[in-house]
Amino acid sequence: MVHCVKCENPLPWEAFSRADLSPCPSCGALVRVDIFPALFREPDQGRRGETLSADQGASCFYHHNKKAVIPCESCGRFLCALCDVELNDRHICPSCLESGKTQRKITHLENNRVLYDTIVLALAVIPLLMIWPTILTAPASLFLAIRYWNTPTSILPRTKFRFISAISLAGLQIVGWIMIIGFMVTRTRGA
Amino acid sequence: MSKEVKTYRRLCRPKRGFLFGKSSLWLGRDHLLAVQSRYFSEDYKRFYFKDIQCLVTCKTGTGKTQNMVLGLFGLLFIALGIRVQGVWVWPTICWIATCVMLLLLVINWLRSPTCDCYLKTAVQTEKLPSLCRMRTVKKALGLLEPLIQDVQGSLTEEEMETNLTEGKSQEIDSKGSERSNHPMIWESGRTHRTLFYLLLMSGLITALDMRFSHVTITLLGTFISLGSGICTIMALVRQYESKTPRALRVITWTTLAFVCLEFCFSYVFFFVAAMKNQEVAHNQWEMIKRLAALSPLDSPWLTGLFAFSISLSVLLGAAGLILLRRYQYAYKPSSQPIPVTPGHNPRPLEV
Repeated sequence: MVHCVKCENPLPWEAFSRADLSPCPSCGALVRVDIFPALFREPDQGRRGETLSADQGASCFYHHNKKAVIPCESCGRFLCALCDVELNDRHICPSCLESGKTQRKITHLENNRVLYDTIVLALAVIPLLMIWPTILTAPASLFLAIRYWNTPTSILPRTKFRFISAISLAGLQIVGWIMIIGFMVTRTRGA
Repeated sequence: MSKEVKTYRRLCRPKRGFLFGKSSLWLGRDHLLAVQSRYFSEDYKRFYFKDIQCLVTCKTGTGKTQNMVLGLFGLLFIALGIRVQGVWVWPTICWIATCVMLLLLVINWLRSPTCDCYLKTAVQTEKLPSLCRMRTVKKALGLLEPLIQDVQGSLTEEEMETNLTEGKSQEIDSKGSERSNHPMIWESGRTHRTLFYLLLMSGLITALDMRFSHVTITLLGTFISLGSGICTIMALVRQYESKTPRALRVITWTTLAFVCLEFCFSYVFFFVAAMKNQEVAHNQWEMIKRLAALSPLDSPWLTGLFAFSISLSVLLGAAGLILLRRYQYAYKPSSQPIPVTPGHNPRPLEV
């Protein structure tokens, strides 16, 4: 059943898959509903592992009394239908799934990423407004840019432009500070 | 990295938040990726094509409200541009501001009407913030539909009719149970109404204050402003975790921003006045009398401030009352019975 997003009352089925907007009978909001076959599909039933009889083949690594149906594509352990996790057309076991998630090896399981390139660029640009903090932030920015150069940033298409800009800016700031300090030292000695 | 670069392609332009972050939608090989960016991090939500059941798009009045606000500000700056005389700088600023407002108005008008788009799967209904214009939704659907149909297959008209007709009987059977899952209780009718009436009164008193300089009007205006502040906080507390419609929530939050802004301006104004009248700064009553004696028409800044205050008070108050009436009508008890479930004691409809 599809509900109106405004008043949460069920929408009439006559309103479905029409190219134009139709009013919700309860609140009058103009609504368009585009439906797909999944709406009418019965929810998938979870698979149950087949019990292993004495003379039948291999057993599952995790459930010794269940029949193995497929090996894990990552570690090679035999898996029953219950333990077989299908992800991205690959069959893997729950422990590989867990380790893949914690070690960030499976991109499809990641739901958050830190954008180190943006952090580094901000660290190189924002302190420029007050100038003095750059004596600390420029080396920090340079260090972080080198430290996180190979760390994946966004999973969306993205270049290394921010890292390169940050390194260039931080480098210029460091050179600037070296020149200022050198000038001051020379002047002090001259005086 | 190079593999990841080719994984996603953009479905629509990102929608930027008011202050922080932006939302965008990307097409993956077998799923739709909703990205919520907040400067230094990104959150991802994946909707697999095989799981998408439907997309519900609801046209909203946000675009119209934006147009009204921009138009109002445009008119305000035109009025100021005509009224402000003397140094050429102020009229020029006013006319530039007018042009900016009108340009924004035209751009907003040219973009199609605003909408809210929700994606439904078997276990979740998620809002897609980046699909916020009808034209964008149409474009996105044009790209998305073939991909979903590749995975799920397409529905012929007969199939759809059969499924929907079957679904209709189930729909009627399960109406009661569905309603119990979505109790239509919403709070704060009375508090919201008081707040919006106070805003209208505040607008009226400020308009009177512009014309007549009297201590009674100034005091009345101050008390009404304080009342609006208290009512705003009460309304925000009452609407928290209630089924108060989104538009009404937005109006209440906007009112909070307006009230805070008004308090800040009043504080600065009082501070400046105290600095200028240091001999009576220690005497509150004398200060209030001096402030009441001031005419807002003496300074273009004060005139602008008063005009801003009047227009926003009236706009928020009127819009709030209209919305309140509209939702009150939509959710009146006769059309929407409040389910009573064991252990759940819903508050009665207050409006």
